[in-house]
Amino acid sequence: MTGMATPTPFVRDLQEALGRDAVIWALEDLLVYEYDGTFDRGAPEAVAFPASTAEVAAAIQIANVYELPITPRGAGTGLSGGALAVRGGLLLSLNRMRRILDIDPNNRTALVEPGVVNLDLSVAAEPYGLAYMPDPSSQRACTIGGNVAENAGGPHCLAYGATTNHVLGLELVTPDGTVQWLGGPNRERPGYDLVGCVVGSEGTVGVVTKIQVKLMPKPEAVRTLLAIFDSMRQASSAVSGVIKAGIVPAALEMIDQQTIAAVEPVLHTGFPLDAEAVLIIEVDGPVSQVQAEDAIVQEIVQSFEPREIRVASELPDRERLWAGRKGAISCLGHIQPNYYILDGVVPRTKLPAVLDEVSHIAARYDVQVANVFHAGDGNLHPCLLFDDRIPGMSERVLDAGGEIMRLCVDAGGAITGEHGVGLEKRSYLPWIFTDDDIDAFARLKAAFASGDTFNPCKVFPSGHGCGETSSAHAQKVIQQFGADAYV
Amino acid sequence: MKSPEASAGLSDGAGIAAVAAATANAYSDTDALDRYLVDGLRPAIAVCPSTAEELAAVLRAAATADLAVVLQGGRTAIGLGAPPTRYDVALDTSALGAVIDHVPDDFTITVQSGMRFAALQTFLADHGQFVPLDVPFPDQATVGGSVAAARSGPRRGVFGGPRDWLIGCGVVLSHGATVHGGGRVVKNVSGYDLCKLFSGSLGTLGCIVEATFKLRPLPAADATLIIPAADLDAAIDLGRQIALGVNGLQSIIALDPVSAHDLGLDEAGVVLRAAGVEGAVSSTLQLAGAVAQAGSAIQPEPTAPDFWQRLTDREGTSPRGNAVLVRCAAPPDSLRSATAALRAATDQTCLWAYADAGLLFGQLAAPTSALLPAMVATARKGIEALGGSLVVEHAPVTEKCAMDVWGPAGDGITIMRRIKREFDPNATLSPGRFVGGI
Repeated sequence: MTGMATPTPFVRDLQEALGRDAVIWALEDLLVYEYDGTFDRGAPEAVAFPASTAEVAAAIQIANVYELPITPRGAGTGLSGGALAVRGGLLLSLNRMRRILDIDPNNRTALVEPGVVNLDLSVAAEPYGLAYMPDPSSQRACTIGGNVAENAGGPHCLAYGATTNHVLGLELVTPDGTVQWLGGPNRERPGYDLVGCVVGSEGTVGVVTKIQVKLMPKPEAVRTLLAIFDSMRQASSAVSGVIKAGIVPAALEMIDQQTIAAVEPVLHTGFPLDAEAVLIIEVDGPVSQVQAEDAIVQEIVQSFEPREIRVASELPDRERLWAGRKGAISCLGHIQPNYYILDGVVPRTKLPAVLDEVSHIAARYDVQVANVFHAGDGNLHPCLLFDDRIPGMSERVLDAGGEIMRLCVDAGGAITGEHGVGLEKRSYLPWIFTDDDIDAFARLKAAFASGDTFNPCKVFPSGHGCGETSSAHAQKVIQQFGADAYV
Repeated sequence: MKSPEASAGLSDGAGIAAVAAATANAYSDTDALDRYLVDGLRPAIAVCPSTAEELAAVLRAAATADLAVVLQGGRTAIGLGAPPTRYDVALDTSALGAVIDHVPDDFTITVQSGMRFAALQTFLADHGQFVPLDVPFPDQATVGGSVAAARSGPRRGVFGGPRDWLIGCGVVLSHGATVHGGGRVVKNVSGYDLCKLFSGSLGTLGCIVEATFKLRPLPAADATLIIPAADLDAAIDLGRQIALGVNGLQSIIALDPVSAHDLGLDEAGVVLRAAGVEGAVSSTLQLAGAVAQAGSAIQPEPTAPDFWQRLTDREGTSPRGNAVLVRCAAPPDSLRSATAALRAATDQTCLWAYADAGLLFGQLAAPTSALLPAMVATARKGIEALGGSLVVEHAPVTEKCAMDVWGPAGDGITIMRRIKREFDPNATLSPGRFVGGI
């Protein structure tokens, strides 16, 4: 709190409705809320921390009276700038709403507030032998509310689907401040699938204040296999071989040579530095199924002549196999001080060719690139490594990033597999959608909200007052090295 | 309510002519039109466009002339929904039957919406793949119709519905524009998820012309286990016990004696299905048998596709006599109370339940058809008290006009109405068929 400035009438109204300690407005206090997982910035006029649905509605109504923009925010781990208050106004932080309201083991559902941390829900469900399946790599920090906004994925969505496949019902406060319950307790409700429309709408159609999710039985058994390959092509062929055999692994993850070079000196995973790819395949389910599938997977992978295979069933051993994949991003900082994570998707069979082309593009821009990717579903995360103290470097990285995105689109893919369009990629939206398509998005949005004050400058390629950031090349979406970055 | 005759009157004559001019395949003779009756109403014209462009031209012409269009494919779910408040044009999508794109190793397929569902599955089976949705009468049902009517079947507890497998769609809106949602990749959060919006929208927002699905590999082994039970309630108890105690099952179906008999079984019971790799399937079913203390006399047998298809077809079969078919959704743990709620509405019931998914189907009969609307209202009240919902899937036309087939859509109805206005402002598409009169 500063003694010098005085709160605006808008801030005073918020304080009155939510309490003084639930509103931040002094400039120095706001600084930390200007960022999310991207390197872009947006300064709100005030941050409100509502503790209930009624307080969310009240805060929205106050912002509406002053005709100020409203931007909802979860843990701020997003990688597309979706939680940035680009046009100022009210930033609605849902972090105080973090109660797990109900776990119903018989019907296998849970009811939670949006600020509940993803992993905490699985921890709470564990005594019942249940788990919440979507597991974004940021699951120790990210919130279910943010997951709903972004339709978050994760390594295990290959077999279990993304957030949208696990949300049954929602309480939504619409941009006009009205509260409604949508969907639940199961999917067969008559009417349009509004829950399906809200999940993945990136916080542009309202604030989700309660979420009913599906819980699933914790897998009885898990088997993790790690294979080291001399060539990326061999590794990719092994992935195809497994999928062709009729097995849907729980996860199929890969890292490339550049990532191995970053990981090995730090984590001592025993990966040979001249290997081109490390592949992780995980199968889970009932014991008998895991045994049978694991035998088939091992046989197939072996037939593609990996240099080495390691397998593990027990948790500590499995975690060791995962260490190189899960710790990959944080190790990249040992190579260059900055990195920029991309999130492209291509048809799975195009992955090897697209990865080749990614390295050509990086070479052309003289930028280092390391690849970690979800090999099973064609979701690639090229990480461009650079030093932003070198003049002109950031611009080169952004240009290379744009070209890689374009490459994914030209390969029949899409501009985001799990991070969202947000602020960062909205200029790319017309690459994959026509004016008519984007008009349809606008119609859907209009059914929830009129006007453009609710989470402005997100998803849609146009929008006034979004400043410099609305141009793809001007976007400072450079990921700085830090522990709060995840893929 | 505008009668079909009035719709086709002089003032609309020019509109009908414009619709006819938009496609080479337009029919207006009575015999042809009789094949397109919807709830007893006959359209003024039926069209069967052979390209998506032609289809868009038809919709544009109809919307311009303020004619009402009811979209239809294989007509297997044409009884679903309230009778249309207007019906001028029957738009038949079944000539759009091509495979557009299939790269087997990508595990995705893009097809035109008029493709028959069985044709899609047969095509995929040659590549060892399938769309994990069970659709009633798949030889007739189209892909687009199955998506629009949110058809699914006994494996829905595990695989969900079309909304969980549709990853891309092309849809013609009533003003003739074609819009796309999703794409052709299995993981994609680019743009709003229009696939969810159009799945289950029953042709009230746009005409699906193209659909992309993610696929699953056909399992190597597929087996069924039948465990007898004294009656439906005992079967449900057993099914719930198995659902909570055994992982890896794809279907857990509880049958009452009548539905069991219809399916060729001697008595009430639980029918289980497991599929996957060899070895795992039989041990999963044996485990289920042990949980049910069913004894070793009961052995899993290879799944008879016919059995599961006949079970699925029951979801789309109109019951004989003075009866309705209802679909109830409730928390899985309240299924027994749900059966009690239906039995409280009538003593003539034929019921079966999906014990894992919390679904209960019922053929409910009344002594006279005039009693059906009140019977449905009573049954719905009981189901809603459990936090569930009840939809009438089939009812005799006259009584259907006197009942709310959908029941309340909840808080979301305001937004749903706004969506309808945004996407189909003149209510060209299937007016009055959906929830809340949409």
